[in-house]
Amino acid sequence: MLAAAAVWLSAGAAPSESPIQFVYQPIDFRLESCETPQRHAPETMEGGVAVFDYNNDGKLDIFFTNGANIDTLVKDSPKYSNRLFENDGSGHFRDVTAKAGLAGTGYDTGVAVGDYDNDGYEDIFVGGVYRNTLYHNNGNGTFSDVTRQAGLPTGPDPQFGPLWSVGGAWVDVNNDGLLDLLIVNYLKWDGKKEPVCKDGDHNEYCHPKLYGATPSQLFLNNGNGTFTDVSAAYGFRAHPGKGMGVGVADYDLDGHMDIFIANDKMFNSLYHNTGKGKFDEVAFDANVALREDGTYISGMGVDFRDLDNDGYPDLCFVALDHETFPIFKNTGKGDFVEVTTQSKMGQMSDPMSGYSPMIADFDNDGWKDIFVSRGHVQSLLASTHLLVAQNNTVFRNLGGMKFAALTGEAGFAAVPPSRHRGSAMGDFDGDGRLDIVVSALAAPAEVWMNRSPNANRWLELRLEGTRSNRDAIGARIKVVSKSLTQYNHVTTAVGYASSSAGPVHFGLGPDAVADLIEIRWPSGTVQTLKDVPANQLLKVREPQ
Amino acid sequence: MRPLWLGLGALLFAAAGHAQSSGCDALPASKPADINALANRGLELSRAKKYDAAAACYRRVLSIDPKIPQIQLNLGLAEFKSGRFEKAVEPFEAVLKLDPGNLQARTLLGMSFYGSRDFKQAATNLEIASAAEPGNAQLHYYFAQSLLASQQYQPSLKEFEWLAQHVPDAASTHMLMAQALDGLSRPEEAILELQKAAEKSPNEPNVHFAMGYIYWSQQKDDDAEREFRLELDHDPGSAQAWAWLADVLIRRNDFEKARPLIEKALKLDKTVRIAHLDLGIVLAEAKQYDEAIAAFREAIRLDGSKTDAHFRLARVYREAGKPAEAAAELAIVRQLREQTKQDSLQKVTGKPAELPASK
Repeated sequence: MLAAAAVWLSAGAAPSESPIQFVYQPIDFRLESCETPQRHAPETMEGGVAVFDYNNDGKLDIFFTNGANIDTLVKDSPKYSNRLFENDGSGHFRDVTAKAGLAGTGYDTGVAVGDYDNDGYEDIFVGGVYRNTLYHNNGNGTFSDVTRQAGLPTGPDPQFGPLWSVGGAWVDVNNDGLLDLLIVNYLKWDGKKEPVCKDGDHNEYCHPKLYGATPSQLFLNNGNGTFTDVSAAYGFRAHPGKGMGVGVADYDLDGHMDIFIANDKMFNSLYHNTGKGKFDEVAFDANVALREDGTYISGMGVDFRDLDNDGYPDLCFVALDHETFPIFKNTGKGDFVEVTTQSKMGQMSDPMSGYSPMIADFDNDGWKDIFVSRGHVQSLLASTHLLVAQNNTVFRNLGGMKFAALTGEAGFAAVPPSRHRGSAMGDFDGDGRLDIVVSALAAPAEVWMNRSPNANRWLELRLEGTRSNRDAIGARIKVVSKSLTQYNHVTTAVGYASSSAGPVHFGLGPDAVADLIEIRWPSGTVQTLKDVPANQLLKVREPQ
Repeated sequence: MRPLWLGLGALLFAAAGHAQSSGCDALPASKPADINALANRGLELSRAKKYDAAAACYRRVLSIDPKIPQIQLNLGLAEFKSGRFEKAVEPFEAVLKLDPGNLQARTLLGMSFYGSRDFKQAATNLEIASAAEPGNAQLHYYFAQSLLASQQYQPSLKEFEWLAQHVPDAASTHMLMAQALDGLSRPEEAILELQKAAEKSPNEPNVHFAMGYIYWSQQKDDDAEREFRLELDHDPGSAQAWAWLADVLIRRNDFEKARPLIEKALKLDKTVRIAHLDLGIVLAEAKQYDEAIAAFREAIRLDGSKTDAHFRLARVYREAGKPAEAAAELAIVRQLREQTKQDSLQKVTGKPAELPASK
C-alpha cells in the first residue's frame, strides 16, 4: 500500500515553479455509498467532510460522513461508519470515532459544524437520507445525539414526506447571539420508486428533473438546547428546491446574514435577510438565479466570499462538464454580475465536473484562490464517454478577477483521479498554509498538505463572540496591510455538504504586519486592532 | 464538393423518351387492356417532367390493379421527382410489400424519408440499401447523413470514416465527421477533422465557422474569434460568422464593438437568432429597454424553445419596471427548463444536404 503511494507521489510530484503546491497524505477513510446497479440517487451524492477542533486542543481534526446500506438506510457494516480523526498537530490523524460516539446509524450525507449552545465546544449537525442527527459536544471528547430533545424533526415532513438533507449551515439569522440551523434538502427520493435511466447496457444516475423538489428548513435556536421550526414564517417553505450547496454571507452589508443555495438543474435561491424575521428570495433580482445565458446547470457546492478584495462577498459554485464553474461578482449595489467568461473560469472549467469549491488564499498572496474537488456524478461505467474520475484543481487568483487552473502543477495528479465529493480546509500542521481534506466515492480520502514554496506571510484569526454567537459566525473582518486591503467573514458553510470551522485565514504577501484589523461582530460591535505582527494565530474575544 | 453526392437521384431516373403533353384523363380505364395505355402515358408524362399528370395516370392504373410493383414504383418516382417526398413513401412501401428484395424501392424509400426529414426511417432503409451495395459511396453518404441528422452519432461516425477512406478528397466528409464528433462531445477530435477539411479545401464554406463554434462552445474565445474572422476572410457574406464573432465580443463585455457586427449579420440575414439575442443584450446594456425588448422578442419569435432569450427578456422587463411581464417570462423559462438542451454544432450549421431538386 505504502509502496503504491510512493509511486504515485514520485510520479505526480509538483513542479517547483507552481506557486501553489500540495503533497498527498493518506488518511484511513474510504467513502462507502453502497453503489448498486440500480443507481439510487443518494449513492452518488455522498461525502460531506468537516474540519474543526473537537477537543479544543488547538489542532484541527477531521470528521467524515459516510453511507449505509441503501436498501435499509442503516449502517449495517463497520465500513459505513462516520469517522472522526484527531490531529496530532503535525497533520497526522488517528481514529477516535468510537470514543467520540460519532459512528452514526443512518445514510449520512453532509455535515455542519457550529457551537449552538455557546459552551465553547463545537457541535455537529449531520444531514442524511430520511434522517438528520444533531450531536452535542460534551466537552470531554464525546458527543451525544440530541436530535429529539432539541426538537429537530425525526420523522417525515407532513407535506413533502421523508426528506433528504445534504447538509446545512449554522448562522445567527436574527443576531440574538445564538446559532440557528438551516438544513438544505435535496430532492424527493423514494428508493422503491427509483426511475430507471439507461446508459447503453447499464443504469446510470437519473436527471434531477425526474424527482420532486423539497424546501430548505430553518430552525431558530431557543437558547435552551431546543429549536423551533420557522421555515414557513421566514420564507423558506415557499420555495422548494433541489439544494446541493449553501453559502452564507451578508452580501449587501446590512448587518444580516443572507443565504445562497445552489440548486441542481433549477433556479438557484438567494435568500435576503430582511432583519425582520423574514427572508426574501431574490435570486432573480440579484442575477444569480441562472447563469447569464439563462441555462440551468447542475449546481453543486458553493462558497460565498469576497474574491476581489472590494469588501463585498462574491459567489462561486460548481457544476458538471460543459456547465462551467460560475463566478458571480458582487456589484456592491445589491446584485451580481456573472464574470465566468471574463475570469477565464469558463474556459478552464468547461471540461471539468466539480463538487466542492472552497474560496481561500492557498499561497498567502492576499488573493483568495478557489479549490474545487472534482469528479462526475455518474458511475465509473460511464467513463467510456464521460470524464468521470478527475483530479482536483486549485484556481489561483491572479487579481482582477482572473484565475489560472493548477491541477498537476499543484500536485493533485500525485494520486489517481477519483470521484471526489466533499472537502474542507484548515491549517493542519500550524505552518501558516491552508491544507485540504477531500472525500472520494468508493476510494480513499485524501489529505493535501500545503507545501507552497513561497515566503509569504499570513495571519489567522480565531474569534470568540460574547454578545454575538461564540463562533462569531457572521463576523466581518477587514485586514489592511502595506500591500493591500482584504476582507473575509466567519462561516463554516463551505463547499459541498461540508464544513470548515478553522480560524479565518489571511495571506499577507510580503507584509510583516497587519496595520489594521477591523472586526464587525454580528452584535454590531466594531473592534479594531492595530499593528498586528504576521505569522500568528490570533485569538480575539468580542468586547463585552 | 457537394455535387459529388448529388448524383444519386439522377442515376435513378436515367430513362428518357419522347415527351407527350396531354394527360391521361381521356383514356379509358375500365378493363385490363387499358392498363398498358395508361402506364405508357404515365411514362411519357414522367419523361416530359409532368410528374403530377404522370402520377394521376399511375393512380388510375392502380385503381384497376394495385398489385403491379412497377406501377407502384413509377408512382413513387413521380411523387419523389415532384418533391412530394411524403407522398412517395406509400407507393415505395407498397412495392416492398410485394417485392421485399427490391433494392431500388428500398433505396428510394430511404431517400423519400430523407427528403421528408424523417431521418430515423431514412437511416433504417438506407442501411439495408447500402449493405446491399457496399461500394456505393452515395448511399453511404446519405445513410451517414441520416444517422447524423437523427443524432445517431456513433454509427454515423463509422460511416463517415468509411467515406473518408473511399472518397479521400471530400472535405465535406471531414466536416460531417466533425459534426458527429461534436455530437459525441469529442470537440478536440472534431477540430482535427475540421482542420483536415480546411487543408483539403481551404475555401470550404463554413469550415472555419464550425471550428469557431466548437471553440466558442468550449469558451475558448480567442480561438473562436480567430476562426470566425478566418471564415469572414473567405466569405464576408456569412451572417452566422458575423453574429457569432459579435457574441465573442459580448462575452468580453465589448458591447460597442459588437453592435456593428450584429447589425451587419442582420443585414445579411434577418433570421440569425443569436444576432437578435445579442442585439437585445447590447441594447439592454445601453438601457434602451424598449428596443431591447423588441430584439429579444424577435429572437423568441425565431425560436421560442430556448431559455436564454426569455431569461434576458425577463431581466430587461425587471430593469424597465415591468415586474408582471418579467414574472411571465420567468415562468416560461421554468416551463422550458425540462426540455432545453445545449445546441450542438450540427444544430447550428449542419443542415443535411438537400435532395436534388427535380422540378
